[in-house]
Amino acid sequence: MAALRAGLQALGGLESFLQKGDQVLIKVNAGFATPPNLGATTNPELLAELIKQCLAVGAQRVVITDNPINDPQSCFTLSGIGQAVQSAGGVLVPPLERYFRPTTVEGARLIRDWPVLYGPFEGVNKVIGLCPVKDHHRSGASMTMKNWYGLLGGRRNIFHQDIHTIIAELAMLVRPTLVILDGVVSMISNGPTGGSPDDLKATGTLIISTDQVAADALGATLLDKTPADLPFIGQAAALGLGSADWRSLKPAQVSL
Amino acid sequence: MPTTQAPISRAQTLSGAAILLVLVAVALGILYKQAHYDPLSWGRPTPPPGAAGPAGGPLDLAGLQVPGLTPLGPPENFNAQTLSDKINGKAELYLSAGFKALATRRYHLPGDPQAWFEAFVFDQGQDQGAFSAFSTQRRNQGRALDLGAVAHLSGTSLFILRGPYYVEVIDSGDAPALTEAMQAWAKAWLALTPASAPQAGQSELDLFPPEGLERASLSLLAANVFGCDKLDQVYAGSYQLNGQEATGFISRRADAAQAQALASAYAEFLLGAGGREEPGQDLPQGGRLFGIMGTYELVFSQGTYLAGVHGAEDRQTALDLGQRIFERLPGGQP
Repeated sequence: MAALRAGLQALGGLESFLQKGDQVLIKVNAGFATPPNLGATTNPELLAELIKQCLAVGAQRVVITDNPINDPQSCFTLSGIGQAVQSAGGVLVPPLERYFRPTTVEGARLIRDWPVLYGPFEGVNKVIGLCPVKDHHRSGASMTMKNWYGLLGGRRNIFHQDIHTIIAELAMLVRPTLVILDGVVSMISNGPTGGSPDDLKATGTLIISTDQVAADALGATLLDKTPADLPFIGQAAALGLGSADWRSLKPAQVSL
Repeated sequence: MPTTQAPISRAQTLSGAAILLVLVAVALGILYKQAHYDPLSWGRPTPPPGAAGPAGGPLDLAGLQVPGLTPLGPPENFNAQTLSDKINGKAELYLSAGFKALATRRYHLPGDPQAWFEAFVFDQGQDQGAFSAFSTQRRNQGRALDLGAVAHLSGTSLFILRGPYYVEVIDSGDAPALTEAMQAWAKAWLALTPASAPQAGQSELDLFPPEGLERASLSLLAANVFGCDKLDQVYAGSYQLNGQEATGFISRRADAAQAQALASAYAEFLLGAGGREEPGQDLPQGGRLFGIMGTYELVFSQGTYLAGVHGAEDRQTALDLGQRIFERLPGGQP
């Protein structure tokens, strides 16, 4: 929690990104019905702190949503996310069927007339992605851009056949206000589900960025990978969605 | 035609007021419920598809009774088409190793819904498939458990290999009572699941030279082995030889021609990835040695076996280990 506060402060405070009266949506990773200590889902304590900070700077409403892999009730409950949202004063919006709309992303090859979770975005004018750094058996890593996968509906597992392209297209779909990549503890093996604390490593880094490509490029290093090991980073950079050369952005660094 | 309205009686007024009060109460109730998180109000309209296993069998988690445990919900069952609905991007790991079905169920300690665990029973079709799923996810820090089956504890999670089944038991937190309950569940499940009969013939695992082998590292890599999409069903084990690291690998193919063709395909893959072939008189018969990205790769075939060394830190380690593997293969004795 101190890392979140210090990181945002280094960027001028959350008020540099949010204004009073904003309606904020936080897209979490609630993909699995697993306990928080396995690191497969967004850290509920970090989420609660972020919600409180959004409300403290005057956000009118903070919506939290995801379309999990497992059934939403189990995921939000067992991951601790549901309780975190309630205790911090956020509004949890479940992925009800009526909230999905067929969507085509201009220039995309895969996201064409595909159901996307739109309902929770009604009235929202600021979007924040909040997710953990994880190894991923199929894509190599699950970070901020992969986090948007939870906005897709339908039989989305067919996209696993072209996982890097779908991740890059998801970055085309969502242009976030901020992404917060939680690498305080990273899942370095057996992702994306993990299953044992032995799959986790204390990597001691929280990344806050307006550039989701750069955030993922830096996050890759926590998994002992380079952006070149993760083709979706290069694809997203080539589409002009951000910079794979995170060092060139001269990020502010805060040590605690 | 003019109409007249009958005067409203006191009873009608009171009835109308009562109805309005009920409507206001309902509206307030809806607002209250919407403002508070209630997990029980959600849920997918249809359960995930997938048939439960035969009654009394290893996949029949509805029929598995464990004293002292309370189910947290009904069992879930998944097939090859729906596996990713449960484990998303990790599905491919199981599918490539012969996955047939998955049964899962959550349990909690009586009177404490916060102390829960979930059991995953993967039916991989054959013993080799289950070994692949088990061995490729084995945690280095795991410690063996005496449950009458291959099992280890990693953190507080339990991993079991039994015949064609691979089992994970994942808990919600570190509590001794929960760990005991998980092991009780495992024993009950193992009692339903007989061990496989020993298989005829020599397993690839027996062919790895024992000197320098880290036995816990032995694994079956099902697909895309060492980054080569043509290489599959390869047993691999890590070695420490003279302070140098290397990985030995062995794979039995359908016939000698296939083993030879696969060795050639892997050699071509290495060359395509920037490898440099190293000539030498001291290679195993038909072997080819490559230097690539600061390490050495050796590949050869012997009869129906494809074998070699991956990621050796130096040339001599690759040659020594390769020769030892070659000599243990049927027909490879000097």
